Amino acid sequence: MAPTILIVDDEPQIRRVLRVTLESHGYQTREAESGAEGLEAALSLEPQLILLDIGLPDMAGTQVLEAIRAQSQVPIIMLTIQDEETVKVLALDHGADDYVTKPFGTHELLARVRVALRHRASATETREVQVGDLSIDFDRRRVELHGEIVRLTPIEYDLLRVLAQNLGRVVTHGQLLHQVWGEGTAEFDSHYVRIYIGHLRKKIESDPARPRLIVTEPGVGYRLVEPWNES
Amino acid sequence: MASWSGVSKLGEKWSRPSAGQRPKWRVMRPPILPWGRHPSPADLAVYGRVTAVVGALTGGLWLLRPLLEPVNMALIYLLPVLWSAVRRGWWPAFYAASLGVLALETVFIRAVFSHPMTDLRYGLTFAVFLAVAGLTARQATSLQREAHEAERREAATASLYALSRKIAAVQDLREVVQAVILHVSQTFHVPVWVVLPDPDHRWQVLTGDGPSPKTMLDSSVLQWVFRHGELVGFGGRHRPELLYVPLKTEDTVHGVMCLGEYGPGRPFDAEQRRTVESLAGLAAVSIARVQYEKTARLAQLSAESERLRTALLDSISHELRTPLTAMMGAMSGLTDPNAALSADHRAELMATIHDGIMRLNRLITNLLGMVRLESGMLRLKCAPSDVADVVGVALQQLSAVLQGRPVGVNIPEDIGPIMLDEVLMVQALVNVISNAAKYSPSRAPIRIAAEALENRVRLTVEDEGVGIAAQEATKIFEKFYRGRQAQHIPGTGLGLSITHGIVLAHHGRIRAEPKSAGGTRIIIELPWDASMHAAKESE
Repeated sequence: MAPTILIVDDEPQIRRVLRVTLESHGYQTREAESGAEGLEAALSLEPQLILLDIGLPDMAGTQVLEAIRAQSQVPIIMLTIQDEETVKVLALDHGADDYVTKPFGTHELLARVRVALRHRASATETREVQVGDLSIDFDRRRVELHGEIVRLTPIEYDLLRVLAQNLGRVVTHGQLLHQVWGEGTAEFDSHYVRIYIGHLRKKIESDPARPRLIVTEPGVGYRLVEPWNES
Repeated sequence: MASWSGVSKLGEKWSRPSAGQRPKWRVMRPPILPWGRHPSPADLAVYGRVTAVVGALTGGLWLLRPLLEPVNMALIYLLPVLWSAVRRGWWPAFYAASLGVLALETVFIRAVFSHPMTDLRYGLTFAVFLAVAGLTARQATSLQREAHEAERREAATASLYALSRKIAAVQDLREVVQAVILHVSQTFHVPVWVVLPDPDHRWQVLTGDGPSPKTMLDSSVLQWVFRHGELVGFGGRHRPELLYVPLKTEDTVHGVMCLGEYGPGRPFDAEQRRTVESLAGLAAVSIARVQYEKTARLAQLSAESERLRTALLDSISHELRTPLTAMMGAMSGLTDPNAALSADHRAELMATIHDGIMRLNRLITNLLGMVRLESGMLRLKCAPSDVADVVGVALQQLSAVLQGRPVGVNIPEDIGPIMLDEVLMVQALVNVISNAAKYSPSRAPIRIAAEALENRVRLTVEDEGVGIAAQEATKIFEKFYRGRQAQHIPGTGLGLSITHGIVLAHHGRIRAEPKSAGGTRIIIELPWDASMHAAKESE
């Protein structure tokens, strides 16, 4: 059965575009136009995914997010606007799976939706990840680019592993710090993340100045993505 | 409001009188120059001294009496008369003359030469003595008065000159008033307050050192002086008076200056009052000048902001409508059932819509950025960041704009983390790079480079476009300014001014310069702590 996606947004125009886009790609949709309505629908309809607007008129998107998270592990993608990096990080820390920034394209939205649904489906650890010309074998801790082994330091490998396990999904600086360096690391040390991402890019990106695999989400974190042709 | 710097010991002496002794106030008309001096205890001592001198003279002459004729003695008795006339004026001289004639007559003429002076000769001597006294005293007094007047005028002029020099170039009203207060209180050694009406017609008191004027100044007197523009003294018998001096130019009273007096029984004399008044006149002229300048500046500012507002509305409506028009056209083409569109045309129309959306989004980001900068709401969320990454994100955001254009990026690997707000710095770079693209031919290369200097990182963005005139190099960072060569290319003139604001918020610098081979070079320098670079490979 096609997955059901709940759309929570107060703007009818946005709901319409989302509904048409998602239904044309084989998803079923339900709509809610306020936080309270969305919360109720989230718990009664048990959708497979929720698209949640961060700026709802009746309650803050993060509030709705927390209320849903308290009772359900359903994947949630936040619909955000620019200049709200702090809110994005806050939402991610409170259990949102990802976000899309308005205005967003269909391509971007569908990619996020697919990633979120896939991560829920495969609760078991993936053993191997293939992204572009890069392949990562978790069991053998082996990274290959164009079939050739890439030599990574342990920290570089751990960074890439965390990103690859969240393929297509944003990982915040804080999450990377905790998962690579350990829980005790202070937020202040986040420049280590930036340094090692830089090192990593030099080893796996064809043009490190214009990265296509590890994409920076300014003010939020990084995302390992399937490269796609811009032309 | 000015702060009351310390209620000094004067405070007690200057406190409000009890209800029983209401102070009285009186208008002080311009004073008339006083003629003679009022007698005072010091003056009475002069008569004693004259008596003593005449007595001593008589004693001396008594010892020398065998050698002298009465005529000689009479001449010697003229000496105290002359001295008194020159030094002490008419009355002591008259006294000296009377005493001298009396001594001459009774001690010498009658007793020594034993031929009594006749009434006529006695009267003649006395008349001569008086004439000498009178003439000398008059001459001496008038000379003294002239000298004194000259001295006073010189002091007043020097005081006025000193004050005018202090306040001539001052632009700020408060500073002018503070200079006046300081000067007047140093000249007279009394507390001084200046009261100016604020735009809501409430009193605004400015003061130097001294007791709080709130307990001292009487607002009804202030009102009266302000309305009538006349000098008023206000006080009672048992407390010192306050002087309320209007700060008056020809037709307007700008405020009131209040001076405390020295203490009970020591009011300002007429000369001091005149000095006070001339200082007040100068203060009034200066206050008027500052206020007129302020009004003129405001008028100029509002004209300028009016011009800017019109320019902003024009350019924004143009910037918003252009992409909308393009998108509307592309949309109609795509949905027209009669149009036979090839796949390429279809893709082109789609790209038009996409570009229009991205352009509108950038414009909105810039407008919001402008509002944040203007309203002081711009808050940096700095984190150690990678310059190469920031440049990469900016390039990625502009990938549609830069399509088909060679973009060179040269960022050395040894540039360590730099503290900046990634999101804002990306916006700043997007504006600079999209400008470079906008004002240069579509295939002309853009070069982006970074280098680490001693304590800063320098980012340069070079294009081979229309370039700028050297004298425009700073102007292009002003809000709504459009380069001379760029007038025909639409734009809001917002982008670079926002970049400027963002760079300044990072305590950095930005400048533009024309390249010798044509094109523009934008240089951004951001503070950089090289020690952060020392983040070691902790593996």
